[in-house]
Amino acid sequence: MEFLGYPRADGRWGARNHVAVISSVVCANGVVQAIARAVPEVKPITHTEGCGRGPADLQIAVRTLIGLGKNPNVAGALVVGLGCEFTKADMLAGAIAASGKPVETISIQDEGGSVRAARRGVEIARRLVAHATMIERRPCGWDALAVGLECGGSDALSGITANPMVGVAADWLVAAGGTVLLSETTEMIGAEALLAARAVDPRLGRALTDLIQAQHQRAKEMLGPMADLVISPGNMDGGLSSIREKSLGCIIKGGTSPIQQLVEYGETPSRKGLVIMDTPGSDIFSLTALAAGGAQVMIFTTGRGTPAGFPLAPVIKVATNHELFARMNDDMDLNAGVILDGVSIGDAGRDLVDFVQRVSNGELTKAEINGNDLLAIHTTGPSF
Amino acid sequence: MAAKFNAIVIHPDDNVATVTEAVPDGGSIYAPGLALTARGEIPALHKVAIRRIAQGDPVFKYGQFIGAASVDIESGQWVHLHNFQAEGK
Repeated sequence: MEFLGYPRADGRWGARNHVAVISSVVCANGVVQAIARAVPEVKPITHTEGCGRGPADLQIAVRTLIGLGKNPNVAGALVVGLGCEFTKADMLAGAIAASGKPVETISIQDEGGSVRAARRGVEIARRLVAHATMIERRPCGWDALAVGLECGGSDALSGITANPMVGVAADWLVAAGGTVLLSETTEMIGAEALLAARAVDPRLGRALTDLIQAQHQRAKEMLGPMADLVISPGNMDGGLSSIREKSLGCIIKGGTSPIQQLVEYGETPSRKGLVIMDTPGSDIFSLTALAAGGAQVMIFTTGRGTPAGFPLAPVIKVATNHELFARMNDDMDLNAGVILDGVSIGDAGRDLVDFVQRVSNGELTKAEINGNDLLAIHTTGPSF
Repeated sequence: MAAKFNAIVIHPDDNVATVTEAVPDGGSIYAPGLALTARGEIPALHKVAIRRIAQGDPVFKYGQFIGAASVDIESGQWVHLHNFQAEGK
C-alpha cells in the first residue's frame, strides 16, 4: 500500500487535513470554542498556557503551539489571541506561516470583545475550511510519515506483547525512510547505556545518558522514597528483576534502529529514522509533544485501557491483552493479546503496519470516531 | 496448534522466556518452536530459562543483557533475583 497524503507547501504530507483554531493563550479558549461550535469542521486547540509562567515554560508553550500549527496534518490555521499575553497570536502565526500554509489571526481585545471576535473568527474559519476541502490526497512515499509512540496505563504484558509488536512497526517505518519518535524519558531510566550504544555518534550517546540520569535524579528529588515505586510499580512481584528490564520493555516500542537524534519537548526533528523526544511519561503531555514534533500518526499501547486521542492526529490504541480489548472495545483498535495465543510478534507487528498504513490513508481510529480530543502542554514550574 | 502456548520468547537471542500463566513444577511450557518442562514452580509473567545458563553467564531478554546468572541455572528453572544478578537496578 502506498501513502496517499495531503501535500503541503513545505514538502511535507498530511495524514489528515484539519483546520486548526488555536488559542494563543488560555484566555482565548472561550472564543476558540465558540468558533468550533459554529464551524464544527475545525479542530479547536485549547490549553492552559500562554502567560503567567517562567521563561522556560513560555518557551515550551511557544515551541509546542508553533509545532502543532506546522504539523502536516494541518491544512490551515487561525490563531486566536487575547492581546496582552506573552505568546502573541501574530508571533505564533508568523512562525506557522513559514510552512507556507494559510494562517490568520484575531485578537479579542482589538476586535472589541469575544462576541465580535468569534463572529470574525467564524468567517475566517469557514474560508480556511473551504481552502482545505480543495486539497486532495496524492501518492507519496512512506518516508514522509512520522509516527509518535506512547504507552500509558501499562500492565505486566505491555513489555512482552504490545510494545514488542509496536517495535516491529517502528523498524518497518525506519526501513521505509520515515521517522519514529520515541518519547517518555522517565521510562528510559536504567536503559541509558543501551540507548547510548545505539546512538549514531558518541556525543549523542552522552547527551542521552545525561538526559536520562538527570530525569532519574529529578524523579528522586520530587518523589523521595516514592521514586522507585513510581518507576517500578509492583515490578518485582510482576516478574521484572530490574528497572533496566522494565525500561527495555518500554523502549522496545522504538524497535532496533540506530538513534539519530535527541529533540526537546515538542521540537521537530531535523533527521529521519529513530528519534528520541524528551517528554514526561504522562500520556496527554507526551501526545501533545509528539504531534508538535510533526507526528502525523501516533501509536499508544495500554494494558489498563485509556480513551485518549489527540485533536490533530489519529491515535492508534493497542491493547496488551484480550480482556481489555473486549472490555473497552470502543476505545481499542488492535489486540496484542493474540501474541499470547501463539501469533508471532512479527506477524502481529505486520498487522499493525497494515493498520498504520490504512489509518495514514484515512481510516479512522476509535479515538477519532469517539471524538476523544485531548491536549495538554507540559510545564516545569509554577504559574505566577 | 497442538498445545496451548503459555510463554513468549521476545527475541531470538534470548535465553529466557516469559510465562503468561503460573506453571507448576513439572508443568509444560510451550511457545512457538519451544517446548520444555518446568523445574520448580514459575509464577505468572516471570522469566524461565529456555537453556542452561552457567554461573556468571549473561541473561538475555529483548536480545539485551539484563544481568548475569549468580548460580548455574538449568533449562526450565525460574529466573529472578534469587539466581541472577540484575543489571541496572
